[in-house]
Order: sequence, then C-alpha cells, then structure tokens
Amino acid sequence: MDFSWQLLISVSLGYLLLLFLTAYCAERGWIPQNLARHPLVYILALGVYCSAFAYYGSVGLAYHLGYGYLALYLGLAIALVFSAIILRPIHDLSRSYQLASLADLFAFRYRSRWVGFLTTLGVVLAMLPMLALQIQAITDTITLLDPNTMAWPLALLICLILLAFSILFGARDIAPTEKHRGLMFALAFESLFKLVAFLIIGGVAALEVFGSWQGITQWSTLALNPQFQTPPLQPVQWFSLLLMFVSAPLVLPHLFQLLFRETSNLSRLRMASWAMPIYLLLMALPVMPILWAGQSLGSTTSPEYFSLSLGLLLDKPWVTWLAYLGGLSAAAGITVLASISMASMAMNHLVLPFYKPSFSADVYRWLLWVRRLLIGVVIGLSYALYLLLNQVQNLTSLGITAFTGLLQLLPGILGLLFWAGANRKGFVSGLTLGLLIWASSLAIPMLAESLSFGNQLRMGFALEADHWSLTTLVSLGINALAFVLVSLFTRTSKEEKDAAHTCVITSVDRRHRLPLKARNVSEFIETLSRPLGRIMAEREVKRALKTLGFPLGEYRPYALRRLRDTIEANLSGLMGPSVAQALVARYLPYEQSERAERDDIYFFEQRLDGYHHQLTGMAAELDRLRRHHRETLYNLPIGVCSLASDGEILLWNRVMADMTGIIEAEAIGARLDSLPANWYDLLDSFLKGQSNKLTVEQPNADGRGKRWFSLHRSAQVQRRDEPLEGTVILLEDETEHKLLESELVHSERLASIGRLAAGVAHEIGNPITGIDCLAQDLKYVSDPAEQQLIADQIREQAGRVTKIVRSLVNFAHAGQGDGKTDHQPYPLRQVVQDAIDLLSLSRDAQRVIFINEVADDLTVLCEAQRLSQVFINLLGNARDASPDGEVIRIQAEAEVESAIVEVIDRGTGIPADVIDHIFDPFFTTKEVGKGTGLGLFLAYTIVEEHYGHMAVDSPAFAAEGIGTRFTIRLPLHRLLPEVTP
Amino acid sequence: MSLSLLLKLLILPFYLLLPFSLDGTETVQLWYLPFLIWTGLILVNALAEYLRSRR
Repeated sequence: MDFSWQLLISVSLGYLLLLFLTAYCAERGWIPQNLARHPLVYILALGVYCSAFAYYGSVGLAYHLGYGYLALYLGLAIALVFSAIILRPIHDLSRSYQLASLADLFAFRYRSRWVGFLTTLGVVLAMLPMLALQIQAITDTITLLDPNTMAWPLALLICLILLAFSILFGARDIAPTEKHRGLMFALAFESLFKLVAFLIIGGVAALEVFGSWQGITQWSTLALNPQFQTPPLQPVQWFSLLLMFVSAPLVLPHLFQLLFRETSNLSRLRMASWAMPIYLLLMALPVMPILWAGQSLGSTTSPEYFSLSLGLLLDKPWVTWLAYLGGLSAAAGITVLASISMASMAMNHLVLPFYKPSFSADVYRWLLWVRRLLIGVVIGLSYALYLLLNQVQNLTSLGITAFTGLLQLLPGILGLLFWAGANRKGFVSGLTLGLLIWASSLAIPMLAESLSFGNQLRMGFALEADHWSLTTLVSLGINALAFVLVSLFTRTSKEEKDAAHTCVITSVDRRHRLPLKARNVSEFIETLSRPLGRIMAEREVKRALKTLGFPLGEYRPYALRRLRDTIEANLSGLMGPSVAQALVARYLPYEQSERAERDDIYFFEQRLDGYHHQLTGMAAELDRLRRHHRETLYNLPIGVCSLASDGEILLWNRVMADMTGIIEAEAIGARLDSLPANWYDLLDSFLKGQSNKLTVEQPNADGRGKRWFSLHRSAQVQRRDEPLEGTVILLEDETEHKLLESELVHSERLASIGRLAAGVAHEIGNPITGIDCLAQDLKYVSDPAEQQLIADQIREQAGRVTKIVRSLVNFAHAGQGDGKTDHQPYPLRQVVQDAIDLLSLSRDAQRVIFINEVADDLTVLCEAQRLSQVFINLLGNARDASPDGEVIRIQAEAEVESAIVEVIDRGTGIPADVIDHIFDPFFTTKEVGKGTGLGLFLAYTIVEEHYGHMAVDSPAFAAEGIGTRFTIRLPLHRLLPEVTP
Repeated sequence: MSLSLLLKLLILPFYLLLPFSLDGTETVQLWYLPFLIWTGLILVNALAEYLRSRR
C-alpha cells in the first residue's frame, strides 16, 4: 500500500479531530462523570510522559544502549516510588501557595524574580529541543512513508492545529485553580491509544516475525551475534540516564502541571506511585521485540522508526497506520500540555515581572490573552527550532540534549526540599554554570551540526563516543558544587530563611504573629485597589475569604494574616510568586514592631495537625503526646484562655466557649478588645489588676440572674531562648458553689440567731414584763395625764421589742434565696454598729465591751446585711476568746482608695499551727456543737465578694503574746458619699 | 522507620541495577527477566503503599 502525504495528513487531522471531540465532550460533561473523573484517567494522562521520544526514541536507545533504554521508564518509576519524599512536599507547596511551575517554586523559595527568570529561560531553552523533537517525529514518519512530502508546511499545519487545541482546552480561564478536565480526558485517551498501539506492534513483532515466544528466545540467542549485538551498557551511561529521568517529574513542565496542578487529591498521587509504573512497564515491554524484529527483517530505516517500518516490511498497512497514529498521539499530547505549562511559566517570570498591565482594564482577560499568545510563542519557537535543526538530529540526541538541560535544575530542587542553607546566589551561580556547560557542549554543537550538514537522517553526535554522559555528569557536578559553595559562603536573606522553613521537608511552616497595617477586610480592599483596581481587588479579597470560610466583616488579626497569605497565594497563581510577593509586601505590609517576632502558634498547630499522618517513629510519638496534651487542655472542666502580650487570643478551650458563648473559631486570633463588652471588661480589668485570683459576678446573657466566675492567671512559662510573653487565664464558673455558699451563709445566720435566742428571749422578756406591769398599773390609774405617761412607756417598751425583732428578721433573711446581691453605698460605721447591736442581744454580751471607733465618713459599696455578718462572726469569735470585761476595738481608716478596718481583741490569740487554716471551711477549734467551722470561711468569702481582702495577725500584742488582729481592706465608695440607706 | 519506607528502600537497589540483571549470564535467552523483576518490584511497592495508606 502506498502512503501519500495527503492521505496521511487527512488521517492525522481526523485523529486530532477525534481528540478534539473527546476533550470537548469531557469538558461539556457529556461523558459520564464517574468515567471522566475516574482515577484511571489521571493515571493514563500521566502517560503523556511517554512522548515521541519514548515511542520512537526508546527503540533507538535500545539499539545503542541495550537495556539502558529502561532508564527512561525506571527513572520516573523510582521517582514515583519515593513520591512521599520527593513529590508529596512539592504537591503540598504548589497547592498551598498556588505555584504553577518549577519556576514559581524556585522564585517562591529563593525569593527572587531573577531566579524565576533564569529558571524559565533554562526550562524553555531545554524544552525547545524536546518539542522540536515531537514535530520532527511527525514529519519524519510522514517523510518516511511518502518521501515526496514537503515536510515543513505539514509541520506548520500540525503546529497550528495543536496551538488551537492548546488554546481551546488549556487556556479557557485564568483562575489559579483552573482544571483542564477536557484536556486531561483527551490526554488519557491518547495515552491509552499509544499504549495499545505499541503493545499491538510489540505483539505483531513477536508473533509475525518470530512466530512464537520461543522464536523470540531463539532470536535473542542469535542476537549474541556481533552483527546485532548492542555494545554493553556502561554504568556511567546508565546512571547518567537514570539521573535525567528520575528528575523528570520535577523538571518537565508538563509533568509538573499534571502531578501538582491538575489534581488536589493526594490519593491520586499515591495511586500514581504504583499504577503509573505498570503503564511504564507495559510501554517498555515491546521495545526489545520491536528492535529485534526490525533487525531480523533487515529494516534499513533508523532503529527509532522500526515500529513504523515493521508494517511496511510485513506488508501489513494497518500496523503502519497504528504505529503512525500512536506516534502522532504521543507527540501531540506533550506538545499541547508542555506549551500550556511553559506559557504560564513565561508569563509569570518573563512578562509580568517586567511589564505591569493596566489594571483599569479587565486584567483577567488581558492575562488570558497573554497566556494564549505565549502558547503560540512556545509552539512557534519549537517550530522554528525544528526548521533550524533541519531533521538532521535523531530523536534520541534531541531528547538527551533536552533532558541534560533540564537536569541542571535538580540541585535547586534538592536544595529546596532538603537544605535550608541554600540561597539564591548559590542557585543562580550553579544553574548558570550548568546551563553554560550544557549549551556549549551539547545544545550549541547540536545546532551547529544541524546547520552545517544537509538533510539526512543519521544517528547524531550525542550517542557516539559517550560524549553526552560526560557532559551530563560534569555539568551537573559543577552546577551542584557551585550551588553548595556559593550558598555556604554567602549570606542567606531572612526572606529566604523563612521560605526555607516552608519548603524544607524536615521543617514546618512557621509564620510570625505580626500585626498588619490593614485592620479589616475593607482596608484590604482599599489598599489593594491601588495596584489592582477596585474590581479585581474586591474579587480577589472575596475569593480569598471564600476559600478560608471567613465572613466579609472579619477583623481578627489571625484571620487577616491568613487572608493576606491566601491573597498572595491566589495572586501567585495568577501572576507568579515574584509579582505576588512584591505586590502584597508593598500594599499589605506588616506594622514595624520593636517586639521580637513570635510564632503564630495557632497556625503552627494547624500545620502540625496537617502533617501528623506523615510522621513516623519518635516524631509520631512526640506528636501523639502533643495532641494528648492539647486535648487535655481543650477538655479541661475549667475555662482556659491563653493571651499574647498584645492581647491576641491564642487558646480558647471548650469550657471557655461554653461559659462565654463565644465559639473557638471566633475567639482564636481575635484581640481581647474585640470580645463582647461584658467579657472584655471582665478579662481586661482582671489583667490590669494586681491580683492573680478574683471572684466576680456577671449578669446572665438573658438578663435574668447572675453568675459568679472565679478568675486565675499566671504568666506564660519562659522558654529558654525567648523572653516572657503572654498570660494564661483560667475561668471557673462558681455560680453553683456560690448558691450553695449562700445557703450556708443563711444557715450560719440562722445558727447565729439560734445562739442569740436565749439573749433575745431575755431582751424581749424584760420589756414584755415591763409592759405587763404597766398594763396592770393602768387599771388603777384614772388621771388622764398619768394614763398617757403609762401608755407612752408601753409604746416605748413595745418599740424596743419591735426593734429587736426587726433586726433579727432582717438578719435572718438577708441574701437568702437566689443569691442576688444588691450592693449599695452604706456607712461602714453603721455596718459595724449593726453587728454590735445584734451581738449585744446575746446573753454573753455583757462580758466584753465593744468599742466602735470607725469614722462616720467612711462609706463602702456593700450589701450591708452580708457585710455585718462578717463583723458578727469576727466580733463573736473575739468575744469568745476574750476574758470578761476586756475591750474589743473596731478601728477603721481610709488609705488611698480603700478602707482598712481592724478588729482587735486581747484574747488568747490563735496558735501558730492553726493560723494558716482558720479561713478553711469546717475548720474549728471550738468544742463539738459550739462551732460549725464556717464563720471565718464565710467572712473571708463575703469580703472577697466585696472586692476586699482579709488578713489575720496573732498575737496582736506581741510583747504580751496575746490578742488577735483581723484586718479587712474594702474599696471605698467616694463618688456618692452622701448616699445612705 | 516505617515498614513501607523500609520496603521502598529495599527495592531501590534492584531498580538501580535492573538493566544489569542479565550481566554474567552470557545469554539473552532470559531477555524478559528484567521485566519480571520489575513486576515484582511494582508489587512490593504496591504493598508498601497499601501499608502506608493503612497508617
């Protein structure tokens, strides 16, 4: 069968149209989702790696290097085996920071636009031979099938079709998260097609040429014949090749795009690590049978095209068609995807850093069209190189030249992943030297050779005399050496060190807790409007907020820092990290602060949580311990809140959220002053106070009743190398305790009344007796004036009884029930006098003398009855401890904002061994039945409720070794001293 | 070190030396041997990935 170029081109167009339709149907959702999004589609799409270089070139490689051709497949397989160490970190980085290419990654890590520029330049220069190779493969095969073909117009036509394909399915949107589902499906289709085609050709070679499996074995034995024997593979050649192809998933722009951009699903990357090698194995398997079949049939074509000539020699046109379309498929896939990814790289690092678009126009549209234009430029340059190369070089030479150039990026990648000390100067030095050696020893000689020689197909210079492996190792060695030495002996900037923490796999991304100048989302939009224009600024801020799940009214410093990071990442996806970093650093700056930089603890914890599935061994155990402590802290039955020195909340546990009604997500990262007013007032006043412990009451949120909270605080523990910062506050709900305590107070009050009962009976009995006598006298008195006098006396006695009863009733009921307190300004002297009056009802009242020396002008804000309970308890104890006729003094004086009240007796004093326990509940030294042990405890509690403090000193009269002095400090009420009850 | 990583490190030398697996046999009758070894390595790697996914 004759193959005319017209027929060939028609069939080619038909096949490319089929790819178009496949992509279109997938893009429009006409293909069932469970098929279009099947993980196998992703795995097959990775088969784009097996370009025409693998499809045709691997047979040529096998011809020259025997099993050395396996490096092409095993290199990628090894990289995928260790994907958790090599690929996963880059996947995470590219997802988190919207890094679309290796140049983005380097610019992000080494913090320099020149790094991105140089990387892009290197990748473009190295990839052009690879893309020219694809065009050459197509035209070579057409020329081979129809020698009368005019190659260059056909190549141009195919390039234009691929350009249209790339633009239609690879540059439809500018969003950094853009996925090319149609393109992916088409790539999977073409990968499957070329795999099936290659396997069939291999099968045909085995069955048609050798007849059977045994036939191959017999032939392979014959292959020992020096005529067909391949030269032995040298280890240096093997390891040079392996180095090139191990680095392939990182340095090939189209593989980078597939592995790190087209899927956010890590399980697919994990699946690729074992499934993709199966694909590679199947692609590698037919190579030797095809080679031997070509040799066996005496093919006169280049070994690279044995798969094509097999059908011709066997007179099986369908095999030739299959081989041709498989090759076309392999070449088309890489051309489309590589041009898309290289265009994106070129825009971010060759255009945008040096040309600022006008943001008043629709910048998204501008970016999209520039990307489309750049796709055209990439394909155009590939075509131009193809013309310059003039089909002189074989595919293997072109492929090895391209891979050697790309290999120069390997030291930079290793530095990025494993060495925090690497810096941009080292990277630029190493890469420049490596590229210069590559260009001078491989690329330029190849071009020179092509320009000097005529149009002929012959094995090029590269595989002869093992020139290429020497160049590969020398260029890589000098590159790596320069990279290390320059990095070691030059200064690494702070930005690079910070980026190293993010990139190096042994580090965790540690951000600093720096205050931003922009205080809320509106200010973000305002400031970003200047460089981006209002529309784009709003759109980017809202997109970042949506990603983070934050509201438009977000104001928390932590949230604003994350918003800034996300905006930077999104802009990085649009314009590259260099432009994004510069833009964000300028328009969303941090405030200049004298304070030492602090880790953003919450962010740090979240990152650690994200990593913990990857940890093994001791690191995993330590992380388990960390999470255990974290959970313990979080589930403590007491509210815990950790505050930085600037008031930012770093920790807000579950009970804290329950008690305050402020959920953790709203509290963490907020400043204290942004909490609801009641909680801010409470926490802020506590922090500003001197005391480390405080009990306060707080109205309920529903306005009904009150709750009591006990606050404790302690400064953060100082770490070895960092100054002290922040405070931990514990918040305990004491409401139930307080209600119980209130019950206790009431019981104690009733007990006091009980103890007073005998005295009260006596006090009431006397006037009642008097009234009785007066009433009897009344019968015998007829004089109205005398009757009036007796009546007045009866009323006087009745009034005395009423006063006693009323004071008892007041005392008994004060503060009972719901525990509500009602603090009112009240003269301190009167409080003390009320207590003395009540005690005077006691039968023992006459034994001691109470002297109230409290000044009249001292007013306290108090609940008078509860405060009088304090003095009743203190004076009662003093009376019990004092000998008969002794004096008990109550003195008070003002001291700044406080009233200092002293209750001094001359009793037996308190033994030193019990003085530390006298305020403990149920502690008593009295006989059983005479004391409950609650008196001083309640007195202490009541004083604290009044924001006061009580202390004891015994002996009060040291010289004599007797007496006790209770000192009570109460806040004075000065604002309304005239108010009295 | 996890078992999955250990398995991967164990198979690495086989990957690195795969093309030399026929050296010393003085024959290429077992031309498919590298592919058989490779298949074994794929299975071991799949096992390692399975172990990793269970962690």
